[in-house]
Amino acid sequence: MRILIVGNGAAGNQAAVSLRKLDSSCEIVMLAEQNYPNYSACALPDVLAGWIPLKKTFLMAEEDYSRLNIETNFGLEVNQLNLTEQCLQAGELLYHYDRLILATGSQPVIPALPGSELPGNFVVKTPGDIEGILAHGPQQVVVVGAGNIGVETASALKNRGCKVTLVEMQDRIMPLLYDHKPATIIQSMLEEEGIEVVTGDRVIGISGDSQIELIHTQGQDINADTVIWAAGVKQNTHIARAAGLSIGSLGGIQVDTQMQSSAEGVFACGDCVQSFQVFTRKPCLSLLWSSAKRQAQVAARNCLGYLDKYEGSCSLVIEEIMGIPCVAMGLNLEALQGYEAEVVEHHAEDGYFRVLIVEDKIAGFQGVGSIEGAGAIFTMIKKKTPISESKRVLLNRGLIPSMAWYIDSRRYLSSQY
Amino acid sequence: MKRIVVDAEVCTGCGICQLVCSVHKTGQWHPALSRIKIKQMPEFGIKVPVVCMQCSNPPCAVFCVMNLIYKDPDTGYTMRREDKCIGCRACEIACPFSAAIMDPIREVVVNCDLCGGEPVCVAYCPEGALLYMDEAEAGDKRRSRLGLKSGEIFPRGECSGRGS
Ligand SMILES: Cc1cc2nc3c(=O)[nH]c(=O)nc-3n(C[C@H](O)[C@H](O)[C@H](O)COP(=O)(O)OP(=O)(O)OC[C@H]3O[C@@H](n4cnc5c(N)ncnc54)[C@H](O)[C@@H]3O)c2cc1C
Repeated sequence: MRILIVGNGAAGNQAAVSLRKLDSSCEIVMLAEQNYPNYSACALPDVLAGWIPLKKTFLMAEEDYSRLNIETNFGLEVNQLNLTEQCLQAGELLYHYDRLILATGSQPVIPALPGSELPGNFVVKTPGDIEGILAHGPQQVVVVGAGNIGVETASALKNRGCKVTLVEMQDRIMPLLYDHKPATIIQSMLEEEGIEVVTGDRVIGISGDSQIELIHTQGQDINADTVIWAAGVKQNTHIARAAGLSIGSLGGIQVDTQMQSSAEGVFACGDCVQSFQVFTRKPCLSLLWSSAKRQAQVAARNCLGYLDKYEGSCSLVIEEIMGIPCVAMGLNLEALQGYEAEVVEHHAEDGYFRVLIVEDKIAGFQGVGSIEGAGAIFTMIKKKTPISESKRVLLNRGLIPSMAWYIDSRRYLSSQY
Repeated sequence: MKRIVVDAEVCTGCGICQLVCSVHKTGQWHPALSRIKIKQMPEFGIKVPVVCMQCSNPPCAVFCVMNLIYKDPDTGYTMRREDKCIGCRACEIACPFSAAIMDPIREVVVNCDLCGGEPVCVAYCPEGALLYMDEAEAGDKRRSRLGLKSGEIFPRGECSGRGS
């Protein structure tokens, strides 16, 4: 059996490694536009901050691929997928497959605004982006978009000694992860770090002759020499779309729970797919490392005929700001619109946290500060464990020792027990 | 595969396991550095040592953004290439048992590696509350004590994927 994988990000690499683990003889061929071996995008802000060297972000070396007998064709863009011929076209080259795994990922968007083509506009996605930013020598930076990538990048550049302004169009930072109150707490931590945070405002243009000089938002002009765009990503779906694969309402390749696309034998995983959220079961674009890897495991297993089902995406995002961990998991109130969510809050010396409860289940958690034992809560979110069930166990002396992991949940759910 | 099995009924919470673990692994005498932790519920007099369960498809490995957690192909133990760790703590929260432990000195997260097959905590436990035994043997032992059905024991569904 000959299996082609398009993409060498978290998803593509996991798919390749999982396939090889399950089957020592199948032919595995990876094709990817980007000419790097496996690297962790999540570690790139740490490089920007100067905490780790760039080479530490690489997760596999060329020898690893040959040891696993995985053929790599990196630096090669696939232009076309022909479903009836079962082949991919990359320039003049044709690659036939028995099964196909699309792991084409996503890319950050730089909107077409005046000045966004000037040198000094960057995104943070690849090792090359980091090299570009460092070579540019940023001093005054505007980071556009305060999602987790924007926040990490702003914090990293501040650590490097830059003057940093973080601009977010929504009314709070990390609006997809946190509710108002925790977002405000984290914002004040960033401000204490020396980052200027502007919310409810958007960048409308950049001026400068041959380089960036001034950033214009709706509300103000900011002196800067560098702009980092962290204002959202776009799924790389053009080959799938052109081939006629179903594309979901949110713009990702539509897959079923086995990560199979609308065409039999063609699987997809990672940032390029539209799957579903574990709690609401509604369509979602997960855009997380862990989801990419789990989806790739599922795709690989089903590709070889072993049944495995994706459980649904459940986000877990951790930021460390001035040494203090900030954690968001599951859904926030905005994402729970239409559900009746109870908010259980706790504000004490060791930190702040809130648990969002919907119909006896935990739908989300946001915490700043001590996160000890939060793994129990994350597991309850993923497993949709009824709170009444954990309570039943914790009231039963005979059951506790064998389900001791529930003990940690008391710290966060004491008002419910 | 063998792993550490806990007999909570006889654990007195003396903490020797935590101390020998921290000394053996870090050279320091400090329970916070231990990879085995005693959880307590004083109102029931319950003390339960909790340690890495050696899941077959470990969630810590799926959530690790540096792909540094792997199952050792020979022993089946959940191992880490610690030199790659950036201390992001995702594995710590992905673990239902909170058995991935931040080592604040080296700023890396670690888990029990069964001391390569001779766990010191088991050797030093004065009560025999820690046992190093086979998966199947352990399951039988607990089920018979608790009169439980299988599957009622741990959130194993979590970790049940076949570790591909
Ligand atoms: C700065 C940063 C920080 C992050 N931090 C976190 C974090 O803390 N936690 C977390 O969970 N997630 C984080 N993420 C998100 C996480 O990195 C992504 O979800 C993950 O990398 C997605 O992997 P992927 O393989 O699906 O896609 P990608 O990594 O985008 O890989 C796509 C691959 O497909 C190739 N490709 C695309 N189109 C073609 C084509 N036509 N022909 C050939 N090849 C093609 C590309 O070259 C690339 O190799 C972060 C992301 C960034 C950028």
